[in-house]
Amino acid sequence: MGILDKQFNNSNIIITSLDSLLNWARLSSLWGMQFGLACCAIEMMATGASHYDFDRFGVFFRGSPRQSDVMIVAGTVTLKMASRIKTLYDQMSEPRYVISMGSCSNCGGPYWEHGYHVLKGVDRVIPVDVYVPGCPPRPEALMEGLMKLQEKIRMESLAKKATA
Amino acid sequence: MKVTFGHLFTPAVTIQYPDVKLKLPERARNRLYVNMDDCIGCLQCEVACPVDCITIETVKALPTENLGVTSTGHKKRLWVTQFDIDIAKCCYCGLCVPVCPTECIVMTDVYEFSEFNLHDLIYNYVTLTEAEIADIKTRTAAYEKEQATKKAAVAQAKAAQPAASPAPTAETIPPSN
Repeated sequence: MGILDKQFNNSNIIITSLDSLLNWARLSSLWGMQFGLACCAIEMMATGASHYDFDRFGVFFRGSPRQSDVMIVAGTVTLKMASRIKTLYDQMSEPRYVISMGSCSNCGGPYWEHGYHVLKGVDRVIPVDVYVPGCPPRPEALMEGLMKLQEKIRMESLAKKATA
Repeated sequence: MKVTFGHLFTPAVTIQYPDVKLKLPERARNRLYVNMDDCIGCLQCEVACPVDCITIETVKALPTENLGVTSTGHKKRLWVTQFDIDIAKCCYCGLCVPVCPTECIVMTDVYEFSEFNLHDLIYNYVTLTEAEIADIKTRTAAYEKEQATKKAAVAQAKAAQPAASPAPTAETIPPSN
């Protein structure tokens, strides 16, 4: 993610401090690209509403891919929509993350066997960071997925991973 | 304005999620759990599943083996060598739960199980180890082969009998029960 990502061989005090600063900034204001496609979108909206309040995690839903950091794919990805998702993902600025929400976007869900029009998992067109299971997942489950993504971002580093 | 000011004094409705969790309804349907001690390998849940997310493989136990009984009193006759639930495909309909004769597959109230990898969402419930499964399969295959040869020998003897003298011969192998 980003132009400096994995560009350094050794992590010294400057890089590690910069890492923690960047990661903190990234994980505490993940602006969401809303991609509600089916019933999971209802739960995503409920997560954004006052009872669950996604704003507590710094998640604001934006209508434009250029302003967003995390794409929450919520719902059945049809083959027609798959090309649009790819385009919108490409338009997002790096670092960008994807949360796949619900059975349908994880692996096709109920349509995985006989769905002639459904993409069998959104990970076939875009890389997914966190899979949130559920049909649809509870708002709490989506929040847990987001917190898992935050943990993942916290572990990121500009330095290359030691192979030894 | 009166309404607006009235709202100033109402308590906040937000559930502080990671610290406070909403109590789920009693019959909420979430992640499945299988108690393998009670599973008899009847495949009822696999048949009932509308999305075919349950994969079960069973091997018949030998007559000499005793697998015990379940807590509901059903006798276990099959080794369950594979019991995978692809929870990513599951649609949480709960149809597998009522059909289970031993009530070993249940819906729990666990809903937080996001994963970084899709493969981690395939839950493997079998308690046997790989080596044990291989051992069971070889034993059963050997037993079946033995039975088949016995059966063939009996059939051969039967075919040979009318042609031979009506007196019983000592060579015929008695059919095994």
